[in-house]
Amino acid sequence: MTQTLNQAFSAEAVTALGGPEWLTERRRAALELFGALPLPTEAVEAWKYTDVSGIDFTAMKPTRVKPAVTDEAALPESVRARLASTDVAAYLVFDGPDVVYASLPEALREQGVVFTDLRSALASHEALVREYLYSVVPAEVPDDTTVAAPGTTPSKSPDPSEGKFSALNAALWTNGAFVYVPRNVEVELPLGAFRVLDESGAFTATRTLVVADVNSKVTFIDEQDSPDLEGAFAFGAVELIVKDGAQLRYVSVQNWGRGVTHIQRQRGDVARDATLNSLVVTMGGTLSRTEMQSYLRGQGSSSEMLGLNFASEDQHFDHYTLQHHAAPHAHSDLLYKSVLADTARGVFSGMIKVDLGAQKTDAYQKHRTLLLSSEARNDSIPQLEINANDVRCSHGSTTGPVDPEQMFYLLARGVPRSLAEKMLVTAFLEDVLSRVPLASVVKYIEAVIAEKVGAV
Amino acid sequence: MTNQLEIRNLHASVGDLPILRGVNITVPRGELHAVMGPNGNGKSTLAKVIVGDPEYTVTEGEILVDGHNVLEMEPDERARLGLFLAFQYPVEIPGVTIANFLRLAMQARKPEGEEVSFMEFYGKLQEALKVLEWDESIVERYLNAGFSGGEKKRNEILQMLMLDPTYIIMDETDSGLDVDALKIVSKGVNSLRGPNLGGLVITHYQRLLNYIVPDKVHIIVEGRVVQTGGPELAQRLDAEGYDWVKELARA
Ligand SMILES: Nc1ncnc2c1ncn2[C@@H]1O[C@H](COP(=O)(O)OP(=O)(O)OP(=O)(O)O)[C@@H](O)[C@H]1O
Ligand SMILES: [Mg+2]
Repeated sequence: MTQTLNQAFSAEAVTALGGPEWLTERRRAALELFGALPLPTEAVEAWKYTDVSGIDFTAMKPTRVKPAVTDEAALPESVRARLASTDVAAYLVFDGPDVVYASLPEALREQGVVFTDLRSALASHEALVREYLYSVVPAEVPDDTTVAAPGTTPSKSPDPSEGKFSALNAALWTNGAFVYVPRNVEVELPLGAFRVLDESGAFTATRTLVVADVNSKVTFIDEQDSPDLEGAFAFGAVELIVKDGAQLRYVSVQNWGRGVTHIQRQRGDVARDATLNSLVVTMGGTLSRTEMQSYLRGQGSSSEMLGLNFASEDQHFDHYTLQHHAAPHAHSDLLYKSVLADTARGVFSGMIKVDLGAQKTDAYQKHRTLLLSSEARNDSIPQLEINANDVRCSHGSTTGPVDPEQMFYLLARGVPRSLAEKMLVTAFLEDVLSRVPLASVVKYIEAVIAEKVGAV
Repeated sequence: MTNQLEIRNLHASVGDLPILRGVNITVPRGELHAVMGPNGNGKSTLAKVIVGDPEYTVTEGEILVDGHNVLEMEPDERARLGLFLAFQYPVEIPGVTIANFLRLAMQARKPEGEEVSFMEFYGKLQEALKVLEWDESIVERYLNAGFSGGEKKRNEILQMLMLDPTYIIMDETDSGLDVDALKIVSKGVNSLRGPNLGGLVITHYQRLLNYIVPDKVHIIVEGRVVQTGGPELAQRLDAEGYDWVKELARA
């Protein structure tokens, strides 16, 4: 295979990443899996509308090592600008493969909160990391086959090639963020990680691991930002572990520049009476494929899945969501909103799976697309697989242009058409943001939206 | 002579269906005219055609605003020229706050490079809210989202007060209002009345015209003005109903 000729994807590259022996072994196994798997093709249901055949691993190089900085003032301008207006209590800044700057207030440390980059965590809290790393997003694609009644057909198993990118990440992740919040600890202000990328032709494999232990509460914000690049790649993995009675709010803002290919799998494992609230914002990159999965493992668990994205020009955004109910009395509520302008392409596949025995499931899924151009195209594929008989599930998707009556109303008040369109696009997305009680990051997202709306 | 809203032989249709069949009405500035008539005879259509609703096609006739033919103008241009329609059924726009909307609509009326100052906006807003006996917190709400029928109507008048129109068209602003709200809304409209304001007040009820006394009354049946008169005409309609005007249409 020509792909393995690239040193960046060799066993030596894995060894060079260091870390404990068990990790190197997991990495090596993942690398082998990566080498053995083909890229997913359109014949694979989950990749039907997104063509990744052009991804060429032979040409990619890892990101260069950047020096750590001791002073915020030495951080890249884009990061400083973000830090100036964020209210995160503690943060990590990744530039290149490593963390270059970290802040953790003493008060959090005293509460027993662990918040550091994954490599450091491997040194300081090896047992913790070992327990959870790869437990939710392993190298191979998680088997989300539903549990069906005897004698009936369960859902199809995933195609192994769906593990291609997660295997790559499992083998070669570098800039990892690690959060552990101990039992009964509530962290008031959000924690965050900023990742920047500034090299054309490079790839980065980012990883976030958040563990909210029993009855704890925390908010984590992942932000990704870059200038426009020529052919850069970000392969992400996000593992969210929400233990009994814990509450985790997770926000991801993908604001890469054009030219970046972004492929990320995010998966939450939600235990008994635990709550996961997530928001995934996709604005950047040229090709962006994001998977958001909630595995409702525990009785009474709850997952809110919000998404907003805005694709323009040649952008292709693919969102693949899963609400998998494995326990009774769990609740999931998904609301995704997409705006497509110019010749952009949007794909939304949303799946609700309910296992046998997951009675009293409440599962909702809504996807709405606003089309600003007749050349933009959207494919929405909502799917249900229900193996329990006492459930409430609904799904729906709508696609259409700006509401002509709303448009006319604004025009009739003297607002020019182009501004009226911007107002309606912003309003359309605002609806999602109004459900996120994080003033500072919402303000940032609004600014990102405004910039994008302004450019249309 | 040219300071008037002039509707000349206006014909308009939806698709192939003709609705207006030759409407003639002239309203000089300084006057408000009531427009009455049975359900489904073209009153709202007339209102919407004047402000440029793309649902309707004008097949014949002219609309002149202070001498400018507006038929070729976009709805937003017409609004900036001074036309204002208080809608019969205002739409809900969740995600756009009233405050932001008003500010942008005011800004749109400014010449290039001139900003609506905070003082100008806020001062005007305070005044308008006072007239409408409304709490300031309302402007942080999304436009008409979840508003009661009465609140929507009041919000139309708030916008009217903020945007300084020269010709207002009110489409059944009174329907669905209780007496107190009716008084407040009328107070708002009357606060704008003067030599520079003209307009049409579409209504079915004398009740409104007790508060907003019209200079003339036009009755529209089957897409035409079949009768024009003074305020006494509205009283007659209130007492006798529409049967006799339908007769007029047939004649
Ligand atoms: N967009 C439209 N599509 C189809 N028909 C329409 C449309 N708008 C108006 N009409 C028809 O045109 C006729 C006149 O409607 P219009 O709303 O102007 O009446 P109106 O006089 O305002 O009635 P009301 O007193 O009930 O408000 C009605 O028969 C109505 O059904
Ligand atoms: Mg009407």
